[in-house]
Amino acid sequence: MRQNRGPKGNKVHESPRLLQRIAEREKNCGLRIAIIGSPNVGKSVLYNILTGGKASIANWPGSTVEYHVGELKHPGGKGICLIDLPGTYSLLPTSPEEEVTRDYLIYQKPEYIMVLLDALSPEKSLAIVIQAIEAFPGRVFIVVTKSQLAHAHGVHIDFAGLSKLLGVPVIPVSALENIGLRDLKEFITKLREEKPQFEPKLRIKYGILEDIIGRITNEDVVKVFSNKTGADSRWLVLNMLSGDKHLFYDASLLIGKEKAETLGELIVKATEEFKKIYGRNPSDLIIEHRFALLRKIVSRTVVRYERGAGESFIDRLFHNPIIGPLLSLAILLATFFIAFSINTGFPLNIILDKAGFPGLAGFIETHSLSGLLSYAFGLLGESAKNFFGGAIGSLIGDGIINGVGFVLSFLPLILIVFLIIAVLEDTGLVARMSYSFHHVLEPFGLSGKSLFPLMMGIGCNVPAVLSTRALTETERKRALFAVPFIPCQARLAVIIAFTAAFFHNPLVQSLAVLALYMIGFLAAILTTLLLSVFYSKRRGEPRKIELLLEVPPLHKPSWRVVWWYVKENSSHFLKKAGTIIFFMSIITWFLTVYGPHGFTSDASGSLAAILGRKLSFALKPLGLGEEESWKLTFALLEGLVAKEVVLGSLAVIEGLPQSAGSSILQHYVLTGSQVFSFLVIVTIYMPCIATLAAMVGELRDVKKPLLYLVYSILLAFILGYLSYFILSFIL
Amino acid sequence: MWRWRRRGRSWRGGFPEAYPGRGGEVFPLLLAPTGSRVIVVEIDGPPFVHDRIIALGIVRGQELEIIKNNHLDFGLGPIIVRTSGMEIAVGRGMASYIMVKHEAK
Repeated sequence: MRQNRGPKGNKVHESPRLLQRIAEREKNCGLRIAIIGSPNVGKSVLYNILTGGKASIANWPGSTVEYHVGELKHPGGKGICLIDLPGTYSLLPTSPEEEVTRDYLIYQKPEYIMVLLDALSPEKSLAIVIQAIEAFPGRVFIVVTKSQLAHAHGVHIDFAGLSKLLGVPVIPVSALENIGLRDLKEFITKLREEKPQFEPKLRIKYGILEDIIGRITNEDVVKVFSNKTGADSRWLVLNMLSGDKHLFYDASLLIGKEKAETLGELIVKATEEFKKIYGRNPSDLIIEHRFALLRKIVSRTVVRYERGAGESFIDRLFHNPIIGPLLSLAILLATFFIAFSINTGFPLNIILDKAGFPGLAGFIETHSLSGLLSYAFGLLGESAKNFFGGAIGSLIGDGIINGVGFVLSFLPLILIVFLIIAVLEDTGLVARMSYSFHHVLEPFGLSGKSLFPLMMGIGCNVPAVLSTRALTETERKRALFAVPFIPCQARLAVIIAFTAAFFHNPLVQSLAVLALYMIGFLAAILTTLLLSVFYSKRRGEPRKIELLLEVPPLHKPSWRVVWWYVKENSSHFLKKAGTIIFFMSIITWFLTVYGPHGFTSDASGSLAAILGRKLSFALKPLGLGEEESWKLTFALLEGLVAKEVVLGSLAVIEGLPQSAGSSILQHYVLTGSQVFSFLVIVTIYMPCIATLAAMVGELRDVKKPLLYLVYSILLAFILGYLSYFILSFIL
Repeated sequence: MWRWRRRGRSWRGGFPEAYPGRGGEVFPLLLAPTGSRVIVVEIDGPPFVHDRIIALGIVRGQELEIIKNNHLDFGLGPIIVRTSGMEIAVGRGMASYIMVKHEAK
């Protein structure tokens, strides 16, 4: 029996036998991904969800005693095997279970290794992450579990920063709340297609040990061993120096007894030598250095807050079901007021204008961030157009530069809105608003968490769509399709221009604006209701969203955490939505400047205008004349790019400068009910390209947003006709 | 299998007499008054509800402190509980699935 035991006397012979059994099970595996992590990291839960298996979830450390091999449950996941290995705190095994984990990695050589990091206690679970990266560089990626819960415990982790610091992908998930799982599954399926080699930047300097490590790493025996195991030779040396005697046993199995013995002699000699010179054990030094790095990583990427005792004053306000919702609304409206004033001047410019300071209002509008940006890009585009001339000049000036400018003009708004969200989120106010508003939104098939996207929609629908990411999958679909009906500032600009031109009584003007906002919100709520009643029933989802929300401790915002949030989300927007917006604005440019006879500078002869004429029947029920109806249809078509373009395109047809404002509309003869019903259509008829792009990006699906486009157009015209019908009776 | 569903629905129109918890020791969290301390006895509900509750650390035997029960105090709004250093807002639907009893004095 003795020869079957390893140097420590553990029954290590069991590992190879187990491994053989696993090898049989892995016959059909095209790609193997081993899952490792410290005990209680949530490995079994994640594994069960990823594979759709039905292993039990236990609550004590090291619940996974045996191997589990399962196939990824995802379209395109066939042949991708996930291997659930026993939980271990370190790759330096101290128990037979941990030996099994380590042995699997070096005997079976899985293509990729998924290391789990517990978001609740990153300090505890980072050790295995660091070791895994050291041991198998290029094959390791990190999945952060319980990422959703971390905030409730006052823990913030900079996932992007961690990824950058370590040089490996980091994917945050929350298995039970179904957050980030799709990203993870897609990432895994991509691994099989692309087989990327990650380039970890992590390299621990072991100080005085470096000399020995470098010397032994260069030995041929170590190189052979490294080739056999697929592990980094440096890590093998480190582990052997740390006193991992079991590794010699592995070596004798893998590279033969003789070479293993020379290896053992080398290590023992080096250790003795080191002890003699420095009087210290190399294993202690190695652990010290690793922990120093761990502390450095934690201090750079993790921020922690403690919760105070008792119910604070602010909490007491939010706990009240009547004061709470009102306070939430007040906070949201106040912060958005400030943000949008900085960005576009709205609504401060309108208030100043109405208060009798039109000069100041104009100043604020032109000196706002997006005002300055659009001015700069307007100049740039104009000069490029003049420089190149003709169709190419128009493409560069009007198409490309305008498109880039359009994407960039969204950026300040997105940044500011994300900054607000980050501050509210970080301080813990969002969670408090959500639960205090829950009972108001519950009847409509939403939870209190949807308050935030809906309110943000008043400013701009694009960040509102992006911010639905915090919701659960069921609720998210509802909120995502409701948000684009909320009238944004771009639509407000059109609404104000039309009402100012056609309604002369200020009371009627403001009533009309208010009514349009109400109709927008009603359309949003109608959509969530329809989705929650019909769509969810078919899919077996609950109609009402139950609230179960972790409330993080209330604290002052940490600017580091805010910056992490803003950086990550805005780059996400630029990458995903930016490209779609850019290409769509080039397509619309093409439609506006190309007619049946090629390039034309006359907009009324362009493809878009012809399309407008063809589709003008849609506005006929409003009792419009021939001329008005095709021009307004053309404006609606152009409004797909952005709702404010509705006004600008009318100016283009009339041959007026775009800045002419409501004076453009003087050429039109429209009745009050016609104007109002047209505005209803403008408000609801479809989300702009940017919103649509954000929706496609968020849903990762083109079909649903397109279906939604049809739905919104139908709804807009139905509501438009209806309001015309009712108004023409009343007026 | 459909037991939870029938139960959940029948609670909407007030608490039914047939339920053994009424007046006894075991009752839903929904009816735990503000400021009381209770122990979780059982977690009911469909799988997706059950899993979400357990994921937050509300498991059998867990002690909960009710910071605010808006259902009893106002008739609307969530129940705020505190457990193991974490504060959780539990919606009224969820709270009706969590069966609790008072802490033994």
